[in-house]
Amino acid sequence: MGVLSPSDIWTGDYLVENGLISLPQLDEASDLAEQWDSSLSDVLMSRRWVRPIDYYRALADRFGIDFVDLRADPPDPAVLSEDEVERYARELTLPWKRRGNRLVIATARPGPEAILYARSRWGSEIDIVLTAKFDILWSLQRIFGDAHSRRAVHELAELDPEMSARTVFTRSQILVAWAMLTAFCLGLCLAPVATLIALNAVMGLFYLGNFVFKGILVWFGARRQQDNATALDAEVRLLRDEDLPTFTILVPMFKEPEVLPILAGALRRLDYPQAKLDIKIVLEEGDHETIEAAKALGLEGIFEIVRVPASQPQTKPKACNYALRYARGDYLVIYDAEDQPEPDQLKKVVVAFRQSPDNTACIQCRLNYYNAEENWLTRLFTLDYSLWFDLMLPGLERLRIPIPLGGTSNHFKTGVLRELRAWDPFNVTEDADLGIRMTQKGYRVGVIDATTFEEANVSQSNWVRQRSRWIKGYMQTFLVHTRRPIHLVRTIGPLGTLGFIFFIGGTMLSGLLNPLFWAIFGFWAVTQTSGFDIVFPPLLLYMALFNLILGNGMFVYLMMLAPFRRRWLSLVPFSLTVIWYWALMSVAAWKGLWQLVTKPFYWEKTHHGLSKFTAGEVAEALRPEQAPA
Amino acid sequence: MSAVAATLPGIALPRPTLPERVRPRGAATSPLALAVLFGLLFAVAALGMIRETGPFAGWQPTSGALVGRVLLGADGKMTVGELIAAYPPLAVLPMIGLRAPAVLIGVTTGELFSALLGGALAGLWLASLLQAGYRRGTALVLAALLVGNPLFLGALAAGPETALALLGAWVFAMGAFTLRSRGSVNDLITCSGALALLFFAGPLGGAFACATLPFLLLLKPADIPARSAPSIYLVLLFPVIFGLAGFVFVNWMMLHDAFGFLHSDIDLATRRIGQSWRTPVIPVLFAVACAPALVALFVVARGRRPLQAVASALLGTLLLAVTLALQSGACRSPVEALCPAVSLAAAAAMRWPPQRSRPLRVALLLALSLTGGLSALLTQGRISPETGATAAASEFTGLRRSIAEQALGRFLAGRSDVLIDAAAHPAVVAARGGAEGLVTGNDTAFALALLRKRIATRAVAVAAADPSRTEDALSRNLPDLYASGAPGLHLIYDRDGWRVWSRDNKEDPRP
Repeated sequence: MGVLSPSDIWTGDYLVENGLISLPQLDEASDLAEQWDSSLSDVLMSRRWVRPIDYYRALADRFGIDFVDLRADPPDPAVLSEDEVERYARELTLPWKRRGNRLVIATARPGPEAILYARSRWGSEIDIVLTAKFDILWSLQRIFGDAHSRRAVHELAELDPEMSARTVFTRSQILVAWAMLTAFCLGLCLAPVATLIALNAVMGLFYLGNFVFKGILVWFGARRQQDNATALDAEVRLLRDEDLPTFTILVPMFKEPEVLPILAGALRRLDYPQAKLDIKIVLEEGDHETIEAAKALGLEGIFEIVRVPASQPQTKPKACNYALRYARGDYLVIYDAEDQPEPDQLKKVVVAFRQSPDNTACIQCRLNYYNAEENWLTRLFTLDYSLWFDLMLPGLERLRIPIPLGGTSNHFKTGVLRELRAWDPFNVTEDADLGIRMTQKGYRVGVIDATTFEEANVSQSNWVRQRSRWIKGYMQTFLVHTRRPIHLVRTIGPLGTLGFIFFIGGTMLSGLLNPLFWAIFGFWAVTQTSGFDIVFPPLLLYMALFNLILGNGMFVYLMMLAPFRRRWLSLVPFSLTVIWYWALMSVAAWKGLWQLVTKPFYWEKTHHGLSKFTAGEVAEALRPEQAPA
Repeated sequence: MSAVAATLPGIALPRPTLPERVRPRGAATSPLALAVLFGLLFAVAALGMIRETGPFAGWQPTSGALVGRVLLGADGKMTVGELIAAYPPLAVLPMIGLRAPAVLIGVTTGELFSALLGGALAGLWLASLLQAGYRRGTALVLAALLVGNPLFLGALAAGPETALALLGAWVFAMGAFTLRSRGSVNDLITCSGALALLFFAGPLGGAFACATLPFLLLLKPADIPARSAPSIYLVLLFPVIFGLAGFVFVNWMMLHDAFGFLHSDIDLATRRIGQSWRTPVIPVLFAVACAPALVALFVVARGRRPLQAVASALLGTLLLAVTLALQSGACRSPVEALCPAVSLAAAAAMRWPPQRSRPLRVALLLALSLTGGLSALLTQGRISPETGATAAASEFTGLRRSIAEQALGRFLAGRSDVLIDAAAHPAVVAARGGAEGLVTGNDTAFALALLRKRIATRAVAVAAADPSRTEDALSRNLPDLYASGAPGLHLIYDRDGWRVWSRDNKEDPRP
């Protein structure tokens, strides 16, 4: 339990005396500040009990120092350093301007600590003025926005080009592809049957490896999950609020005003000291619609709107890279706009980080859907996600195979994220890429039993758009990390490499190849032609048969098992219809491949808020807001 | 925990129930080494025992066909496609792989396969007992009681299908206990995989898998509502159902007859069950006597509903499996039908609730099980006629035919250039010891004989036309061959629906 600082005690009394808060509010805020080991101001802001501007003006009066409005009188860029921006944001203290020989420091956290910090940073020739927290953040963005935007786009590509997808195909990759194609053509001319048999054998072995690998993953992924989950729950119960670190939550959004209330409601429900939350709603500068909607919600002081300057590519990773500059938390998580994380998720993550080895850089939580039962597609999508997050990712973790992070709910150590130059804005599955990159750089990714519920796509065309982006991103990721095959094997090990090839490569390649084999099988089944016999010598035929029967059967079966952990058994019979889902996946795979060549960095936008469940959620989320009116 | 034990199906939980002793450094690997050594020693002993089948002689009604197919496949007389299209398909390819070492040490592939499987089971049982918290000495005694059970030894002697059924029954039982109490995905995989293993292991396994059906609901984890029962059934049975569909497809593709595998004993067995039902009372009583651990577990687990539910489900399955196996004629000997009891007893021992008296109680129950097995074995000659079911089923289904084929095989041993549809009668090849010297379906001479309706080989073996069996190409294409032979051929063998016609000097066709 923390102790309220003397300056907080004085400030609290002063706010009550001036009628800005009531005495019961002060008592409650003081209790919470002690319980959370936070400052009184953070608690008051997080509860919306006082308007920030009133608070800071009152504070200036109380301390007898000037209050400056940084919007009207912005800082002098000459006294600021771009490299210090992260520190300015974290400490909420920055040099404002020079007055003669003295440097004037603006802070939103007045008190002895801020003075000591300012003196240690800028010497004793300083004056202190007071300003508002959001004004500091706003000023930094205004001054450094363009530079940060440029760095958000190009930093990784310039400083670690081998890890960036800005170059889609490297020269050596093109050369290898050309050589393989030439060899194939030569083979077709010189020994056509043998060449086709060889190709068939390679594809057959790939299928065999793919389904054996995924079967092993599920077996290992499902082991001892309940024990681990129970242990994690117990550890969470032992946590004390005062020991919890500040947590940054990034919520990148683009033209999704309708789901904002759900998001705000879900984040308010988080079981975490609100004063220790640093929530940034990351919006594109030109997305006035969502910006206005966010303003209209009148969000608490823990929410901050970050406007990302317009630049290309206009992708989610670029927006996140930009917002990362202003993150104040020790840990950082990304949620999508319609996400509903389980309330204790952040606490579980803190426990998981503390129990994990030091090199653990990321904890991936599970994703699933709250509208699973809406239609056939949402049911199949739920089965797919359950298989992926509940069974396969834990399997990857157990077998120490690089984990391609899911789109949201991946929690990072902020320092490591910055060290790795965060997300690749040219990769449209930047999270998957980051997971692999982390492993290559010697960091570990963990998976825990905490779920974030999202909105499953309800329309097949929207689903294909989303999936085509994912598969294109997997292709980009595969291309990036196989540029240096020996380096890959050396950094993630032979098993890791094999897992990477089957998990990332297998997912995209099976989508591409399936239609070909379905067509061959369908044609053969209808016509009973013996034309294919020549490329299916007995051994290959038996392997193909094995793959066809056991492989397909096993994948259907895995889909069947997927909802079992959550006891969503009403979904089980739908796994029998997965063949059409696979067909859709193949459509998406071919679309992704086409886009990889024609517009590799194009972000195929998924439309959210189409579900009737989401409409209900919005209404539910808005209800408490409307009640007072 | 040993690495192997940790990966065994369903062994991970519950955690050791008795207080763990302080283990010296390096002791973690010794249980594994102990289990491997135990398994290897038992495999060697089992091989010797199988060679001298003794009281188990004549328990091989089905494995003869399996071994025959393996021999045909190994000699190139059957394609892999034909091999995998025949029921039971599971053991065929591994057995072909064992052909070379089997020849090297002078045993049959079936014997070697069974012995190795027995050794593996012995090792697994010891490892699982250690994992369950028994002290080493106790675990060794319990494992010895299990592998010394005549039912276990008899199962190995009966052949690969019965041995596989034992493995399947044990894995299923182990998975069943944890599925009911814990309900994890791995438990589901274990149970459903075991059911598929049982179903495709052979007739006894198939009977056991079918017998689980009424009792699967008892394995439903407590936190799953009753309305989800169809989903549980679907998940548990999907590997069997999909495997069966795959098997139909393979038959259609390889033999152009989707239900070709049904022309074996399966359809006859099914019809037999449908025509008259007589519960084999004495074997069912013997089943209880051979698995007293299940009954005792039900009593001891009072207040522990999951344990009681599984114990009763397994007991019910065993009784129904014995009935089905005998009623359908899947087993030649009633005692063979009781074999899975030893696997269930093993599982019960491993899942016995923690009690101070557990080692003594379990040892006593396994000793009783052994005694029950011994009693059944010693009285097997009396059980069969008394129930009537086995004898009747055997008349109706494959037993008589199997005996006839084995007799013919022995007759053909040492003879060469014999035309026979061996793929339709693989037991002949098994009894003969190999396919070398036989002119069979895959040989050009066989096709020419059918096309020209003329026999060019030194001898021809043909079965009497059987309306219930149409897969014999010779009797189908040359309908007069059995009755009249062919020009230049003399009858040299005539017994139990088989005749052998030969160009050699006339021999006495009487047996």
